[in-house]
Amino acid sequence: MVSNSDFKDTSEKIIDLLVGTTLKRHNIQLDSRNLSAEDREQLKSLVNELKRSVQSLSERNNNSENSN
Amino acid sequence: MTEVRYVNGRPVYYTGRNVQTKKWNALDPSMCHPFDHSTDNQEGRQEIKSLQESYESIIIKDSCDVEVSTTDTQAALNVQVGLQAAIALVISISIADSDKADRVTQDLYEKIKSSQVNKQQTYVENSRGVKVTTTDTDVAVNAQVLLQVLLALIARLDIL
Repeated sequence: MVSNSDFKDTSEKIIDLLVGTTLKRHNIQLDSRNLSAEDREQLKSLVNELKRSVQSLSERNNNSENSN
Repeated sequence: MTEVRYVNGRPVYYTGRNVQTKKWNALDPSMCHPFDHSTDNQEGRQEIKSLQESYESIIIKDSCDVEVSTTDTQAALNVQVGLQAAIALVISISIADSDKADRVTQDLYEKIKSSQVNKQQTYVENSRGVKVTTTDTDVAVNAQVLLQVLLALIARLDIL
């Protein structure tokens, strides 16, 4: 059976491809030039925060699964 | 005031109560199937359609020393809403043409629709010293998918 982390890598690739092709189909290049340095910093911390939230969510799930 | 009508010479009082709608009958070909509503209304729908429902019931009867712990689905939903907002934000600030931004958002959301329904029932009767732990394994999956979409977008913005 495929391990959870292996599958996570696969699904990451699929979603990356999906986002890429969707943007391509609409002929769009994401442009960060009109973002100020402050915006970038805010966006960065926002993404990191969300990353941590998701991580703690999955950890909590794994812990409760293991304790069963 | 109630309306009075006469049917066959007898007064009939209409109290305004709605007549019950006719029950769907599988044998009646003129009746529209309950699932047969046209759902072709994609236009303008731009939210991430991720249905996540959790029905959990734990019944404890005639027992003592029972310890129960369950997953907090609300926390997962909060994270999910935050991620949805962040995806919309990133798209709207990085695509100047707002029509184009809307179209991409919709296109992306249509593809990552997901639905998860979790149903769990636990029944404990006449027991002592029982520990019940229930988990909703699906709860973090939606959030993970949304995070991956967000990261894929951010990677293209080259800001991390």
